[in-house]
Amino acid sequence: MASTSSAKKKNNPADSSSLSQVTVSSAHDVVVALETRDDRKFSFRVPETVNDGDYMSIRSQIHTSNACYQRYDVIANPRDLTPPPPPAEDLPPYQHFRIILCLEDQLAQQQRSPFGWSNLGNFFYFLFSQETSKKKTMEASEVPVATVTQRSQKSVESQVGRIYESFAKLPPDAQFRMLELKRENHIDYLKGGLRQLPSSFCVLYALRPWVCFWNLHSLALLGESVDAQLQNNIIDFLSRCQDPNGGYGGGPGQASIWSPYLPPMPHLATTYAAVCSLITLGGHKALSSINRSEMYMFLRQMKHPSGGFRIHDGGEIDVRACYAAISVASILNILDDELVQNVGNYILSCQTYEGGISAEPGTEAHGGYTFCGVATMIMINQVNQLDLPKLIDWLVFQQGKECGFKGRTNKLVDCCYSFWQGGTFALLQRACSTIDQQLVIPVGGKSFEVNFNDIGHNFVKRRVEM
Amino acid sequence: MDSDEEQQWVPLKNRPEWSDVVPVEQDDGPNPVVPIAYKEEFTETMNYFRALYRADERSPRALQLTTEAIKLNSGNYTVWHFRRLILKALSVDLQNELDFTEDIANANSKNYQLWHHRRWVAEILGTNATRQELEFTKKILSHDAKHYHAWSHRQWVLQELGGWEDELDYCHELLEEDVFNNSAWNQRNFVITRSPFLGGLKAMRESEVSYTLKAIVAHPENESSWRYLRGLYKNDNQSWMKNTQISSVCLKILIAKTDCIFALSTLLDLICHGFQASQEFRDAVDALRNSDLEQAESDLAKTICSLLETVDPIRVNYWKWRKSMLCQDAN
Repeated sequence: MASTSSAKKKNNPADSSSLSQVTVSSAHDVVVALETRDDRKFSFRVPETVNDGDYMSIRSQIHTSNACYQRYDVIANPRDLTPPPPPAEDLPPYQHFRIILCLEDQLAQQQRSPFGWSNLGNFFYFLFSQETSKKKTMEASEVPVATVTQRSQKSVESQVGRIYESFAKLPPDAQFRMLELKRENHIDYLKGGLRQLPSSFCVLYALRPWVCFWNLHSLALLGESVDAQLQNNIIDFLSRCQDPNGGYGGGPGQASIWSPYLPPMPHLATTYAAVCSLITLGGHKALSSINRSEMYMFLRQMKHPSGGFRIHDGGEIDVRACYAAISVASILNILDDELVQNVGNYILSCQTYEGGISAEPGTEAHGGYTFCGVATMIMINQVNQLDLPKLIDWLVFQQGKECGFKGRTNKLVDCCYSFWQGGTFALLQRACSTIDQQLVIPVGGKSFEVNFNDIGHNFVKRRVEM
Repeated sequence: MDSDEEQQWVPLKNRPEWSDVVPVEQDDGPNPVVPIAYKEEFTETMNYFRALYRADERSPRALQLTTEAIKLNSGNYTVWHFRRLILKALSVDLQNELDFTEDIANANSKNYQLWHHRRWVAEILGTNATRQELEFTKKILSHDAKHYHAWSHRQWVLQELGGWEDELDYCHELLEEDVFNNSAWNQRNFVITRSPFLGGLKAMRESEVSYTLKAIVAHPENESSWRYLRGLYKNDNQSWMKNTQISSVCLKILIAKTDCIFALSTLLDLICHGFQASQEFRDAVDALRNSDLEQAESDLAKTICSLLETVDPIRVNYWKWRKSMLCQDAN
């Protein structure tokens, strides 16, 4: 199929004599290769039939490759490409077409930014040289194909880059307005959520104490309070979520003398959320509504011989469950040797070769579990068991050039990790002296215990001794 | 059954087989908070579920009801738990459960409950399920090669049920597709440290170092491969420091002058562990410095830290801190 480009010549300041009629033999996956000014090769796959969505994606990938292209030539609108009958059997699955893109200096100057392709209009142009189409296709290994990781990273970098770029162009007062926390909007949203949630939130059916916590905690951070009536209602609601045998479930059960068995059953995550909500409210009514001795029995029941905790009866065991259990026990002053036993070993077994902490022994180091693991170790006064320098080295590299944090190596930044990863730094500030000591004495040598005397297990023990 | 998708939902109260059940409403109390505006289908299904749960009815119709409830909200851990009680009581063929969880996964695979359930089923089915579980996780990973739950399940299957034989090859396949896939590198570490067929980390070290260095040279900017390399020398810093291939690769990358951050950082760590860097290294590092802007330091490690402050600016504070800790490092 021949493709022509006469209509778009006016956009192309390049030498138009390099244009030629070519035959496109489309195969299953066409790989587009770009040759850049600094001799980098960058490629991606073009699907056999290019629809608008694909086209936009390709264009965005060209945009986001953040390279200076050597030259481009105007050839054809990819929407004109229709796949011919399948090619001869001896052609491998991929056909690589060398696409040479040119960015004239004037154009570059006009654009002023590496992302400025808008002058070229909504068309994407290919050059298929006669030579290339006649040649047997290149081996796939000759032209490196951008991987899924590389493509998605470039895409996010570009999106964030555009935001920073437009931000940088604003005058200072506009910048200030853009950065200012929209406090009143957030407060309205949070208070509204406590009062009513739409039907799409039915996925949170088993997570309602979490909604209480997220909303209440955020309001507290904003320095806002809730009225006495709403406070009472929350305390009442959470009491209905409390299981008579200890712990909190995802929603109200019905504790009555003739029907003790009603769902939802208690769950460590919703227990954490409920307890934290009540602590946030504070005051005698909220705090005394928590059945501490039953809670202790529930936590003991969830304890697993490996040292970890099951997140509910018959449920999964992971670092998240450990954090929920230990933090609740710590905050309620019911933490004891029975609960603490082996937790440190379990979490240590979840510190991976990368330095971060995983959900279970063997899985990948991950921001959420790293926060949970470090926090738990601090609470049980065993943070020195972790290889902290290695953890820090992993942690610092979780910050991307976008300035936000990612959850795992080579994944994308996400603002939730500003908390999980960023928060771990705040925790590690408390362990400074331990870190310094570990840098001198190799891990596995003599370790130095650091006493966090005002939180966690040590505090609890000391009080009892008194 | 998914074929029922098109059918109109018949309220349970209108179904004769449910006429003996008195539904139990959720009691949010007189002043509900965070109430959800449930749709009628959802409310009714849960009302009937509560009734059966309270009565502890472990029957075929209860099983069917849990299916409906899970489809409405796959995060409902109590329903999943009760379903397991019913399955045990009815001695149902658990092969169907694998199909059921696959259906749920197709709708939304990022859900703790479904994976935990799958693990429970596989544990009961035992080694009969090995092949299928490896195929299932492979399928999920073909759509999302970094799917955390899928990897976790796959690791559990390997450890409990076996199937290690092809796993290293599978990791290689994934890395061929995307050498930046950290989950695949992590799995590689998992396999070489735990597979009963490979002899353990030390036995595999040499071949793995070769493999990794090749990947590093092709993409020096790939953090995954560098961390994997370091992981091959867990608790054996001396062997790591003494491996001349590693320092050579660092040198090669520094001389090429692109994507140097991890090469510099690794060289720094090597020096901190006692590596005696030759003049070649010194020269390569100096060639990277903008000598107008940065002062030369007598100590190579300090120079590297200063250089990293410039080439890896987002971590400038980290490199400053590393520099400050240098005089305390034991050799």
